[in-house]
Amino acid sequence: MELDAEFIAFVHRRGERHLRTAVLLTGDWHAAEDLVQSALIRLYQAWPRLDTTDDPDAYLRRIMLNTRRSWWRSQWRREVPVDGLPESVDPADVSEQLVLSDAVRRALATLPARQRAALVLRYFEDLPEAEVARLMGCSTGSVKTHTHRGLRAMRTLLPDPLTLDGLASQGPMKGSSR
Amino acid sequence: MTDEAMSADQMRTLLQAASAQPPQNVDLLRGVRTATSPARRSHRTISPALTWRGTTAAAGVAGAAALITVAVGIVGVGSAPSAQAQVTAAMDTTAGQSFRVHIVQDNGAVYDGLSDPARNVGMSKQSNGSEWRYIGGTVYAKKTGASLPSGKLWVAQTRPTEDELADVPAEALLLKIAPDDPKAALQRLRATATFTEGGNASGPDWKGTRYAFALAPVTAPDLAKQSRAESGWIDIDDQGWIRQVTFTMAGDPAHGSSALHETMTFSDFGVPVNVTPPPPNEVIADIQGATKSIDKQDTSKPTKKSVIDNPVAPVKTS
Repeated sequence: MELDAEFIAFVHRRGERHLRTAVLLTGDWHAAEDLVQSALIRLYQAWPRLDTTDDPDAYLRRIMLNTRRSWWRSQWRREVPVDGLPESVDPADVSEQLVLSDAVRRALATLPARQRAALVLRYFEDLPEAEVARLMGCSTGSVKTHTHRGLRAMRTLLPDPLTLDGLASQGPMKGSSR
Repeated sequence: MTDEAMSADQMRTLLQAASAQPPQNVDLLRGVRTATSPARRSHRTISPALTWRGTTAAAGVAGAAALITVAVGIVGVGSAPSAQAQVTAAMDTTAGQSFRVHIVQDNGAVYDGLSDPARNVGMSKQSNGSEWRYIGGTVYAKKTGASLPSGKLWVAQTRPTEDELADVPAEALLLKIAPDDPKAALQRLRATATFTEGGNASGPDWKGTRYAFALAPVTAPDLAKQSRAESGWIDIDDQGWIRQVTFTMAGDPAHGSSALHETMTFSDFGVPVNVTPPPPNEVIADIQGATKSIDKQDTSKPTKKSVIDNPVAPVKTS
């Protein structure tokens, strides 16, 4: 069965971006791939009914959040918050950026799911607070609370060698192109 | 360690870094191709996902029931998402959020409720003035026309456990439990019904898919006479929310009963749900159909029959 050409083009154009969002929500690339693939199956089912006013990015984002929540509720890939960060990869073996990526994802994984989602939607997807609130099914006030607490927790969770003074001066990092 | 919050710009930089190097050769369309392949679409057997993650995921789940949930929940990852899997995922999604529910039965009963299954609180009002509030394991019922001692308006009862509901016919739960515990009704429906895809569905502000279901009759001798194979459909929107459940229980002319039709409509996902218990001086505890003061509660366990007749059980003494 031939897939819809526009759908394929959409996935090629936007898939990696959503995969990156997914890894921030799930904590690892394998789970992220599963999450995006599951969400794309649902999006494809809805694709013929979408019209030009529908934003497929917004659709996919919402499906990913709901699917992620559904997995969490059914205790699949259950996450247990821990007091400290687990042992990370050996800095001597990998590049500085990989160490940083790993540390940030592990720190994110220790946050409550809604704090994590609020941070990712607000600061990675750069969505307005009202849109984040709509996606999360809460008030903008709750979004503010989740993001504030999340930012405070991230400051606490990240290990000392990864202080942010140097990072800020480097500017935003670019994702690798495949 | 510091209480100082990270700045928004620092957070943006870190999130870019944390997602900067996706693995090579990821085929995000693989699941869609598999789900839409003719061979897969004709294969409706629910099986665990065939990805290497399946064993790891299953290992963390205790109990056969949970294992079944996992198998159904992840079937869409590497194979065709069956109708059963789609409905299961939607039930998990819906039960994970608060919502408003409107229930109409063609015997004239209309219920409007709010439910937050994750916090285990909710309330429901019937058009005739009756009202239910549930908080944790307790339901407070205010029934119009009930004969209660002077000054008492509410009857406190415990909600039945899953074990107590296990053998109760699903249609009884859909009719009796749905108004004050829609999550329990959905869980029972999921466990009992067989779902098949039934075309497109839509509502005022949503588009989605309709799934037909059939309920198998219960075979337990003491319950079979109350159970009939029934059918209905469930509408799930494109976001994965359950929007409507429609259910018809056929009449039984031999016993003088006519068909009953019920529609549950879900909306306002994420709506705040604030439920408070009634004033204590207005509450009495229900004991197997009788009543007495709430400070003299019973510990007797309800029978299956009493659960059907009365969807909530007597309050137990702590």
